[in-house]
Amino acid sequence: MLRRRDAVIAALGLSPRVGLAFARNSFLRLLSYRVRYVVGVANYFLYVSVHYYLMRAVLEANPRAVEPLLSPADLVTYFSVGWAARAAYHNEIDGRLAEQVASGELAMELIRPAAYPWIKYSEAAGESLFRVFFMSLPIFAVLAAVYHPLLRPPAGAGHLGLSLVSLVLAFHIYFAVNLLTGLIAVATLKIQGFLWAKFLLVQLLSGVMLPFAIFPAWAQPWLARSPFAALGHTPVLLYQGKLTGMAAFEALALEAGWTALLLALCAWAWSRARRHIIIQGG
Amino acid sequence: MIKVAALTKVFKTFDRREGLAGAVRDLFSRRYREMRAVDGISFHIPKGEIAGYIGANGAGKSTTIKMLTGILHPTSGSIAVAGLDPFRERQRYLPNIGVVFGQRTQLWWDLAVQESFSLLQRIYRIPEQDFRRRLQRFDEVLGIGAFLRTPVRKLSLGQKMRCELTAALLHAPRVLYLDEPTIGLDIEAKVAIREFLKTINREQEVTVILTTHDLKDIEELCRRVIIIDRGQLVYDGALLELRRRLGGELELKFHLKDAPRPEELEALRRTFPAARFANAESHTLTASFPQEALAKGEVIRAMLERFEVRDLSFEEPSIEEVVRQVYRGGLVAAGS
Repeated sequence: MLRRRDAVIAALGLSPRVGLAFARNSFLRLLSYRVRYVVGVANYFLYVSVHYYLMRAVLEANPRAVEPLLSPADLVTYFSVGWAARAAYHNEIDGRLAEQVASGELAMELIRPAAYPWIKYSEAAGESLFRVFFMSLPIFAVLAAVYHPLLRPPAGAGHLGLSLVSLVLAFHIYFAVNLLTGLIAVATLKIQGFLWAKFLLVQLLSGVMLPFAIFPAWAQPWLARSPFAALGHTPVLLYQGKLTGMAAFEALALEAGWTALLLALCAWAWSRARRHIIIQGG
Repeated sequence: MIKVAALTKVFKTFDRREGLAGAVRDLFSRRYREMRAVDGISFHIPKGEIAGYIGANGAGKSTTIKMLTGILHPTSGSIAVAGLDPFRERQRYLPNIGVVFGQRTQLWWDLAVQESFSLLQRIYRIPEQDFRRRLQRFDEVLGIGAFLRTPVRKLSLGQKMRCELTAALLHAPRVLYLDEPTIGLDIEAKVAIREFLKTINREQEVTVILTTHDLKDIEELCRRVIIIDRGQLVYDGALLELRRRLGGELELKFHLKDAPRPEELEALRRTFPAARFANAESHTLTASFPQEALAKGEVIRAMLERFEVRDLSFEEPSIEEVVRQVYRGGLVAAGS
């Protein structure tokens, strides 16, 4: 039984040990870029501050709109948790994949004895592990120090736990969205336009740019059901304790469903794309 | 070990129309053109052989290698390497092969060479003992020990290629694909790499397919050559046989103590009607003849009997000349 499972894993190219090797490697490589890392932490601090002051200005101009839902403390907490989460799951595999297609470097990835999506997944996981410890946590510490009374702690240990579960699912969803975007490059070779479109969609539909409460009432339930909600809205609301009980479990189940669907879509898209690969530049 | 039958790869490229009006029309309807990069190629390479795969730029060499390595999907035809289909049975196939693309790197740009190797050890699950032993052996032949701690981006081209070869061979593959492994290298590095390839071919019985534009590589390493032109196979056989069939002329150059007299030249021409004798400078005499028409020894013996020969040199048709002839269409029927 065990041997058959091993054979299946080997045939699919999904060996956990190979995945671990790539994850470790990706972690190591990130460690070798110190400057980029410090700049990254500073940038996230700016993202949160800019969004917070923008949103406060908007709300102060029109206080009755959503005031009860979004106090300054709510806003700071919302953006801090949202962007710290983004700092954790973010990767650029779509742009990298497009570069590899354009330069022909993809050839070198395709001679590795593991499935390409599995290699990318493992690398993204290694990168995210790095990002949790060396970006999200420091960023959160800086934000907590600067916005001390406003940035609230999680609503409770259970809430934090659910928020972290949601974050793990968010990593998978973001990975899948990026891989699918990157695979467009196999057909079109250049995807700069698609990258921008995806970036803006993720910013807008995840809630990291604008809380869903700002959107028209009819749009809110749909936004909460989209896979992008997992990338900001859901983990933040879980952290804040605004999503509890049955609603919390429903949100997580929905995220899990999207995760499974998108990962399956990745496997399918890859098996199709593989036949159409060309290697530019000899 | 490697069986290729009627292998074909067709790329669709789209022709751009000229000018602004043409570019606007391209937006709406595109004209596609089919390009047969590899067109019905078949060959068989037995275990342990080093085969040279040569052709002009754009002849389809790299496309063939990319199909053999499972990167590209063949349009039609079949490939079986060690009984496996490189594209369909990719996962089982890849551990059996090593690949070097001379213009690319499979090492991790920002990591020390040693890190890349130990990552490959994990990926291929190479037992620690084998890993150590092989690395030590490659160090003996290629001298890679000196730069194991250097990041790949800081290596010279020659150092990098030595590391690439090591990386491709660490898991002891049965087949090694080398796509222009000596491109851009200096003579010393080229010699080192050729020696290394000979050594591992002998020690590990690895089957090698080598593409190159440096025909010295072919002369040094390959007894078997496959030549393709515009996607089609034009020659497959022994290097010696190719040289013999296309021949070219053999040239013997004699430096004589005294300038030959006209009647002596006349006598020589009568003895060897197949050869041309030229007396461009007073003390040198060159004899040119097709290699299959005469034996070198005969001519030399006759010359030594009739003249006082001070020095003698001879030039065989270079493989470059032979290949140039093939490209020009000098070889009508492909042998096998």
